Amino acid sequence: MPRSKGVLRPGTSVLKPAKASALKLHGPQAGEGSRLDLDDVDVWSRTRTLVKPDDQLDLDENELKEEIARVLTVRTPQLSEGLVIWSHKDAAFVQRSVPTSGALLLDMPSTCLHIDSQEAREQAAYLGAAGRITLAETLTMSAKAVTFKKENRRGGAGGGAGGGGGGGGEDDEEEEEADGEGDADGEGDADGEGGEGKERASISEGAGDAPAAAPGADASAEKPEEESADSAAKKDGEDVAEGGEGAGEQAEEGDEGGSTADAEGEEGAEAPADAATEAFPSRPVKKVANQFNFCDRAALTYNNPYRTLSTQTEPPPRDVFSDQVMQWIIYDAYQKDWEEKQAGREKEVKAVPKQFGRQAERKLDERTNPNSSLNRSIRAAKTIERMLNQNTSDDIAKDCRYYEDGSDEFREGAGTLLPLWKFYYEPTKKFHVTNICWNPRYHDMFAVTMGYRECPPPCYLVLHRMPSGDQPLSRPSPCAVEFMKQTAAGAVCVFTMKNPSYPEYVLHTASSVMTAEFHHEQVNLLAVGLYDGSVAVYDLQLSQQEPVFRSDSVHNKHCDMVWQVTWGQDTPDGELNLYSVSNDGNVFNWVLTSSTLHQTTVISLVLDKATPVAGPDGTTLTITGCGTAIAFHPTNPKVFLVGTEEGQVFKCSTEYTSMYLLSYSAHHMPVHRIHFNYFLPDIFITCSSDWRIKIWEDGRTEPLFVFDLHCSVGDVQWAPYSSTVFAAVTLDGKAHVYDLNVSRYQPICVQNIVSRKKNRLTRLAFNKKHPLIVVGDERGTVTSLKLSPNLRVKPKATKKQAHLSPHDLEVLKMDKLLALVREPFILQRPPDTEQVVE
Amino acid sequence: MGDAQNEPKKEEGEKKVLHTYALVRFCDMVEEMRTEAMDLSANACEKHSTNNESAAKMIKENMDKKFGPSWHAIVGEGYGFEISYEVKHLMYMYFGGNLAICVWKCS
Repeated sequence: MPRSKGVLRPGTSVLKPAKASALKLHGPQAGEGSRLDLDDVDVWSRTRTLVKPDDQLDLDENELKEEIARVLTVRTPQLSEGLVIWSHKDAAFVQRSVPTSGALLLDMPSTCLHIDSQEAREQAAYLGAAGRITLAETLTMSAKAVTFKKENRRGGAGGGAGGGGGGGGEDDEEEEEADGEGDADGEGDADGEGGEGKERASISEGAGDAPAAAPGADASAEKPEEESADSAAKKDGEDVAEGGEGAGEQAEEGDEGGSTADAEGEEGAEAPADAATEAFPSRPVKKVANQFNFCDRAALTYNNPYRTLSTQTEPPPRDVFSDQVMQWIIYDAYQKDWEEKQAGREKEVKAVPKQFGRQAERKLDERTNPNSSLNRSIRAAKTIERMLNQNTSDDIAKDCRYYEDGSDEFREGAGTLLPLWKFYYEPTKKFHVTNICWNPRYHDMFAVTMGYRECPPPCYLVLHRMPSGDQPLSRPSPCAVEFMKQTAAGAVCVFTMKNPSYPEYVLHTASSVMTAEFHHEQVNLLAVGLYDGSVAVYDLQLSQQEPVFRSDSVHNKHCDMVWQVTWGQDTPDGELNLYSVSNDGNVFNWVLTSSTLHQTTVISLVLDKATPVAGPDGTTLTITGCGTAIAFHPTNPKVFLVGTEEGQVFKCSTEYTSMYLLSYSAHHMPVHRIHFNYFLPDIFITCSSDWRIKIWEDGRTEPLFVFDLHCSVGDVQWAPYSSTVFAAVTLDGKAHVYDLNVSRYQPICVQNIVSRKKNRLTRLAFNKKHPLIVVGDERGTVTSLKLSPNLRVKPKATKKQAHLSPHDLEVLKMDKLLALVREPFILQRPPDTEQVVE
Repeated sequence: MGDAQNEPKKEEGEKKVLHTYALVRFCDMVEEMRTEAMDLSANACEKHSTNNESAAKMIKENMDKKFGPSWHAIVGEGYGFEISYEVKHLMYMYFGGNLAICVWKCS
């Protein structure tokens, strides 16, 4: 290779381009020249005596003239290459890196692709430039190659490559236009031609240095960590385009005006130019982004304005505390504290035995204590419940208080019942209402007993001997309770008109509750008669489920269900007592002692003592009556009436346990209610399943009035406000109101309260103060009804009667009526005796 | 509590009771912190019964560790003080019959 042979390139380092170019000025010829110069100086200074070392080689002329190319390498030949060092990290000998003689001053990654890199090829392939050469002929190089080729052809002297690039570019420009456009793309077409030439030259400057190093570095540059520029240079050197690069360098030199470059330029450019021509594809090259053709674009986004926000929290609260410490202060404090502690301990000691002694009482206190937190919250809840109910049923409440049926004015002797609230308690809806009882003090409160009270089961027959007849009579017993349901539970619900939605108290019992009555004085006490024959007394104040008194479940009880209980007058000792009547034929008196119920039999109801029934083996058998109702005489607390299932009503006295004062053959079926008139104490009313209601006068065995309701009568009650008004309910769901003063034959009001098919009415109760009645049915529901004005007509006092009280007027009114019916009886006796006397 | 030592006093013949239990004079800490501070103070005073300074130091350092800085503690038999403290972080108690301990936080 003539080039590698001739070119002396001491500045192999790409890092010193200036030096390199300077040194390049001294070609081999120049080097030879300088050697000659030295010889000349020697000649001048001294005689030609050659002093040489002994061991100098003797070379002949030819040998001396032989040109020896001296090559500078980047490697230090003295350095041994196989140096190893012990690495404690790897626990092995590792190759020690050879220190380089180069130094990296600037490392700038390019955004350009190298034409030979994989990416560049891929890009070329993508853009469709086929073939091996691809984009190699990116415009700079090809352009230069072409330029130099032309120059060479021309003779290549004179203006040099620079001129070719600058001035000579003029005519070449058109030819190169297609190629050169790549450059122009980046820099703009407006660039002067000369400028472009220069530009090109300067661009190639950097690249041109690299190949200059190539010959020296080509094989020896084995170190991969050598800077990338170096390796790029290596590739360049081998590349076809190398010539172009070299040409670029020459162009630069030409610019500087170095005429020495001529030969070299020719030499260097020749081969690559050929190669370039060969490699350069004849077809138009697609313009693609290349190593030197790029543009940067930048955009600056809008910077959001800054704002400063600051906040300060409140410092934690502080306080000031001061005190003084003295020994006596400490001592006093201890003394005081100790005394307090002692006092507290003594109290505790005292309190302990008390607690044990009265545990039970304390329990009760806790429950009844109105200040306990539980009770307080319950009370609050109750208040709110009442308020809500008042709001929701506001219209009903107003009706109850103020509404009077205006149509009554146009209806002589007839009235209506206005339904108000319905009271029920969801868990007891399946029970029958067995009794209703108003509280004597709180006129808005009433107790409803729930249980099963089976009314005429069609196929249940009982053999009875009728007291009047002499042969046994078989008939259905309407009051027999279904035995399958015997164990069914019962309940007592105490409602108040102020809260129709939920009972004020609910007492659950194991057995059906048949009856209940409030005590007339201590209105918190509720006597209850149960299906299983026992009686119990509840204290509503204690709001507990267990009764305060309860009869013994084995001996101290009735043998059959209790039909009715009623409070008697307190004993002389002040003990409360109550009477109960049961199906087993006994009337018991129960005295409430401190903790138990003390029982005495008042009377056993025997139907016919005189004629005991003959038993099977010649024994005799007395048949007892089944008591179903009891009523005390309003003025004589010792006298009471007992109704039986057989229809008999016995007048008894608590004084005589084995005889009746009188017996009425009142009904043919069980007597359901006996009720004394509020105004005339001798008048009472009875009702029965035999469809009839009868009004009696005490001492008279024949009824004064008889009403047939064409259905079993469940209950009958005198009205508390009038002596002549009474109301009854029948099983077919109707309520009947009679006013004897208006009509002795017809009810003044008959109203359907519940559906006849699904339901039956069982019980009825008059409110003592307000014109209200409540009726219970077989579905655990109690309906409250308001009596219209016609149903509660007050007697008008005539002028003569002006001095009489309303009570007397009522009595008079009734007496007048009774006089009609009892006249014969009265006429019979007194006048006769008087006449006799006279 | 209440571990009182009964020492018969010679003159007047009546019993003098010497109390050593921890008696809290003023405390507005929450319950948990209060018991912690009481235990800590009692322990420190028992441990350094002869050196109030080291007892105070121990209380302060432990309180710092447990409830964060900055706590202050005074242990002494006779002194007067007026401090400002972060509310809910003050305890003033007597201990051992003759020591007054004031622990508070103020950062």
